[in-house]
Amino acid sequence: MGLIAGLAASPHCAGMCGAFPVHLSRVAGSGRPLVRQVLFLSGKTCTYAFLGALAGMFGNLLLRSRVFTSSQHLFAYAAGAVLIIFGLTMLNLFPTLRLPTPSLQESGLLGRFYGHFFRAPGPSAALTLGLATGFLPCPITLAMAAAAAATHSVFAGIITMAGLGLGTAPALLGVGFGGTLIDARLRRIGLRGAGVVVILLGGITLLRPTGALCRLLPAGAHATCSCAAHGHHSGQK
Amino acid sequence: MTRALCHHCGLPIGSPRRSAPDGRAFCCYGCYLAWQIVGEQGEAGPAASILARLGVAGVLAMNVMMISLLLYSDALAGIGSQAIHAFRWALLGLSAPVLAILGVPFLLGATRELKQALPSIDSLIAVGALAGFGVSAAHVIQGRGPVYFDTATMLLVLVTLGKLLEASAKVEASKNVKALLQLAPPVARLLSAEGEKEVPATELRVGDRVRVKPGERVPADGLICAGASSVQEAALTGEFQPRACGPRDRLFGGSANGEGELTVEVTAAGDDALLAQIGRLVEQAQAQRAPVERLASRAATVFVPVVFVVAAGALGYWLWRGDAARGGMSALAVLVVACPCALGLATPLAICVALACAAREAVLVRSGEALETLAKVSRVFFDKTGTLTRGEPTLRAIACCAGASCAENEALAWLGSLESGSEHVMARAVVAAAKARGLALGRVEGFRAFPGRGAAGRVELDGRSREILAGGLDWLAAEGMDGACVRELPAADPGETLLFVAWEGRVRARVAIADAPRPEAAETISALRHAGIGVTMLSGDRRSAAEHLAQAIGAPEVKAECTPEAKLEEVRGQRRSGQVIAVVGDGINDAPALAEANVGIAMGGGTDLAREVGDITLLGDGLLRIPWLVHLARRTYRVIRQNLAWAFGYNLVAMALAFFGLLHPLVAALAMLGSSFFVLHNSLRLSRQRAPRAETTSIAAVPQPAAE
Repeated sequence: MGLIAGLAASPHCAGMCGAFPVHLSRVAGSGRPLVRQVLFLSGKTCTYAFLGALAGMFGNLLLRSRVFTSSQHLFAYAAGAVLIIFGLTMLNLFPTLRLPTPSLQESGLLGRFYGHFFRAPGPSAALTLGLATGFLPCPITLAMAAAAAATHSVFAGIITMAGLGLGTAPALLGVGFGGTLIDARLRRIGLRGAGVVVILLGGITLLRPTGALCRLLPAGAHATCSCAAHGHHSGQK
Repeated sequence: MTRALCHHCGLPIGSPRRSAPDGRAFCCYGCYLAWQIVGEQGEAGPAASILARLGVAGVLAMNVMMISLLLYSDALAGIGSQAIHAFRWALLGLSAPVLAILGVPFLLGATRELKQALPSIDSLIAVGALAGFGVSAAHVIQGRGPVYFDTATMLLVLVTLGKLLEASAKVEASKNVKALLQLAPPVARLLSAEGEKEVPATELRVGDRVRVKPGERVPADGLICAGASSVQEAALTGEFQPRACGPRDRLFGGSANGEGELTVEVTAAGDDALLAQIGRLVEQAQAQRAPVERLASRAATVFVPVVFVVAAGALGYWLWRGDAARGGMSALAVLVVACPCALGLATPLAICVALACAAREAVLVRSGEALETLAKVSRVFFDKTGTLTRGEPTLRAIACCAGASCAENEALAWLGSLESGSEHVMARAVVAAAKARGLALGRVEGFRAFPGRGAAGRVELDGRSREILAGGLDWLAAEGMDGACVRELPAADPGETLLFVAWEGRVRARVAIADAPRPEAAETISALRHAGIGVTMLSGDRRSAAEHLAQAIGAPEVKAECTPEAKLEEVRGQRRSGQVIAVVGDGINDAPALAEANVGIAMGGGTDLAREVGDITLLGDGLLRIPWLVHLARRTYRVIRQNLAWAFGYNLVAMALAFFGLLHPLVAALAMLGSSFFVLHNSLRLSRQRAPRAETTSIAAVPQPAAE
């Protein structure tokens, strides 16, 4: 799911975070541009996986807590609702929620902090820049972290978020080598694409504990559905 | 006590925490790290190496955390004990390089701290990380017992990144001073016989001539030789309105030239220029330790040993309760959650930010102690002439005594000749009036000034030589001059200052001089009174003139006809009665009172700031900066109190929670960083303070003395 969301959100990610790979491919520095790009994306994916692990652990702890023992599906409903609200906001259908944007103003503290990683555009800095970029607040990252938490599993959380990192990688590589940033219109389309995926993900998260999903899916897919539901229940034991 | 300043953030260094091989000193590991990345050495050297270390350590630590979380969450429960054991060895293998990469700098720092008998943050982090790693490694080798590799590695990553982030924020403290120094352009257009050529501004010498084109900044202090323009010199005088200037007008390096092209003869360049003097004085002030810092310093020296004792106590307590694992975690959490940084930063950061903030408004506070005292000031004495008034008096009228056997112009010529030997503002008004009337002035010999009373000297004029005395009537009488004829003169306007001229045993004429109050004087006094501060005006002038001005500007108390000694005595008396006194003056005839006050504030700093009297110098005009500065000082000490309360409160509560095992060490590390950031953010709020500007309407609000 993370991989699909990453692919759908590619134009948005390439627009918002494209400046980093463009910078890495343009500036002079040691190491080949491809190595720098791959290290940057590896760093970013590693951070996403780490965040996925934290989110998964958070979900797991909530599931084990007394609140969720008495109301088993409450967390799935809450996570699903959060995902749907995020998705609607990305589609601009929920205007009251302001989405975070990875903005690095030169004068701001974050700008100065991230500025350190632009100083030496060698392979080492590319890896560190990638690690740091993964922590930038972004609506898609937040939505996928919520999805990772909803899996209640550290392993599934890691897979979900690592998938997001891998899904956005082709677009960022393209931007890095194309050397041009994505324009605002295409960025918006990407955000909306990701919004649709996040809403779908929210819907699945909401429906999964109710068993409705199993009824909606063709017979062959039931194994996955029941497996998820089973895993969910087994986690509460 | 003067300390070195950090090469990266500009904050004073309590003890030399870190030093680069070239001798540069840094206040903390974060600043050293940030400087290595962004310093002059660029990408080739340490920057790439540091970033590589951070990157590799980050990836390893994240993987350690991910594997640990998989183990904690039972996700790997079904894979068998052999596999779990292999994972534990993997954790050990991944953690060891992190400890080597990120832990060594803390270990070295801890060694340095211990050698100086000043254990601080490095000691706590080093002991915490080493203990976490050591216990875990032992458990892996034994094949049983909990492991804390995630805590040990993430602690190092969090603290390293936190310190780097903190260093980025601390740069804000010296931003204003750096911005001020960067006003001076690096290159100047030097004029010589061969024509114009660009040279580094540092190579300019006194006497050089430079061209300043429209829109450019003036490269050094100097006098205009040719051209006319307007210059904006807010950073040097606090005045944002451009000043029109032409030949023989003085310019300061760093001022922005307006629309005209100027040729300027350099009078001071490089380190002697006003801008460099300002920067130097602010840095000196920042390097001095304010009295309020002593409490925090004393607390900081005993703080870390206390933390070690509490950590040992936590371990002992939980061992006694039979829970060794919890004891280890609690001891680790105590070490990590304790935040000596908050204690160390609480005072110097706030003071540095306030001093730099004042410098931005062209107010030079020479020490943190001056700022601390200003926050407690209960009464401000203002000198009248040149302080509450514009300091540009004009001669309003001249009246000769009956039977003085001299005409107005003759009296003015003799008086003007005498006063040409004086720098007093009243003397300048007399000389200007004589020149305006086209009077030829004579030569003065043996000029003697009697501060607050008058002046005397032998004047040669039109082939005649006379001993001329000028001053107040009482002093002239004391000097044996007959002033009876003065009673016949028409009454003078109460707002005017009267000066009498005498020769050959009798008073000959009376000149009336008036000086308009500064437009912002009334607002300044009102603001001070509103802040609960008493205001007294001191003047050497006659009572009616002083009271007239005091009434016009709303000064509630006035001490008139004061000699410099009387002013000094007045200040001394008030201090004896327990008041904390600030004296505001021009630093010339009120220098003794400025020196006697708890805080001396000198107005309109000249070209050599190093020799200025007073603890605080207001460059240029702009009296409203005085109440603003009091407000800034009070706010600074409020921030310091908040910081210290936070630092003590936080450490007390956090250590108690950690002791009883209610804080995970990683949460504790985040809390410690958060505590430092609270203090940082709270102090940096001060940099948003802006001095008010005088409103043009206030000029109309202040009554002007009536012209005769």
